Amino acid sequence: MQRLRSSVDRWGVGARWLHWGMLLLYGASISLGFYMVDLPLGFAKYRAYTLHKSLGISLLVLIGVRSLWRLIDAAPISVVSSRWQRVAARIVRVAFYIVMWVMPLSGWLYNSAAGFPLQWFGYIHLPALVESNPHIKILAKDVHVGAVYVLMCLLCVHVAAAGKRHWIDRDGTWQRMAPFL
Amino acid sequence: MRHHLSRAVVVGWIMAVATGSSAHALAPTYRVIKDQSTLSFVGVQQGEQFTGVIKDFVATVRYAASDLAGSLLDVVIHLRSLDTRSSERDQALATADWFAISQFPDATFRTVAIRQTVNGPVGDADLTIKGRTKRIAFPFVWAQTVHGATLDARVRLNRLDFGLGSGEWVDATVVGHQVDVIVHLTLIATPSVPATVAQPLRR
Repeated sequence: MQRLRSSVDRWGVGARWLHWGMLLLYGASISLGFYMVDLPLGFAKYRAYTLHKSLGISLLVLIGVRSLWRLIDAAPISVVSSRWQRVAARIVRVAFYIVMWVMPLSGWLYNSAAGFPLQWFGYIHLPALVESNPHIKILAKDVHVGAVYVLMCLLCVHVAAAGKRHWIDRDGTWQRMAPFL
Repeated sequence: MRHHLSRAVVVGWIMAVATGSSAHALAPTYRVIKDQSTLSFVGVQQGEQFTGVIKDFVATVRYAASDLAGSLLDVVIHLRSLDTRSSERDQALATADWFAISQFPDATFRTVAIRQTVNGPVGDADLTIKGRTKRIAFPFVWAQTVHGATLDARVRLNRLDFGLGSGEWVDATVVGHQVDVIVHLTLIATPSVPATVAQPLRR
């Protein structure tokens, strides 16, 4: 029986869906981001940016939900015995949350400072955070792009640690977070 | 007797008859005060309005309500100076899908007639953008000032009439078809060619 909330030994459906769903959306959004920047000026580029922005707004809503859910939902008890590894895991997790907030917000700021409208799949219109401003635009762009690389570094550390626990420690870490088990 | 009339007076008569203003002063020429004049437009992108300004334009303005035949509005608009407060959008607007600015750097506006209506003067003008000319009605408000005049106008254009936004850009949900052009000119009266030609009439 799948449970929405996490138990002492397993992440619940809520946490698992947010984890894997956001991974998929981030994968799509970041891939699109790297692809779209080099497109020639034209409608295809415009469409790609529009989709990237819609995915970004979705990810902003999802990190909001995820942060709240993390506060409401009790996490499973850690099975990691090493103290430094528990501390490292906590640092990486907090960093993930920070970057997942910074990424869409800096994108929104970048879009606002660049003087473009922002819509979620053409349905919901979001206001500009600031007036068109070339200085804020450059700053927000640097933060937005920088956040991608930080996120990818965190992902590498996270996957390496999860892989170590799954294949070397064999502590059941995959079963705790696996999407369909 | 006709043969006693000076040649200059005859020229003056011909000018006056030709411009239909025998009883009135000919339309004076005005110079645009650049920093007090704006040529702007309001477009809609994804349902959100944006404003563009064209900073560089050259206008020839001759106007008098009493000399509509001698009145003229002639504007050459240098599109490279287009600024929508978004460098990405400006770059996109310069491409072949939009203004094709490298091929058509200027838009032109020239009245072929100006008529008086109950709502004020209306210019019938040929507007050429991207090599396409369309005759438009250009109602404007003319207000005389101490040293000159102001001209204010707002006209609604359809961007598709000028091939602006071709291919998939035709989609109105992406960029609206209607574009409002807003003109505000602050003008100062200048000594003009018609005024000097008209001199013989006053002798």
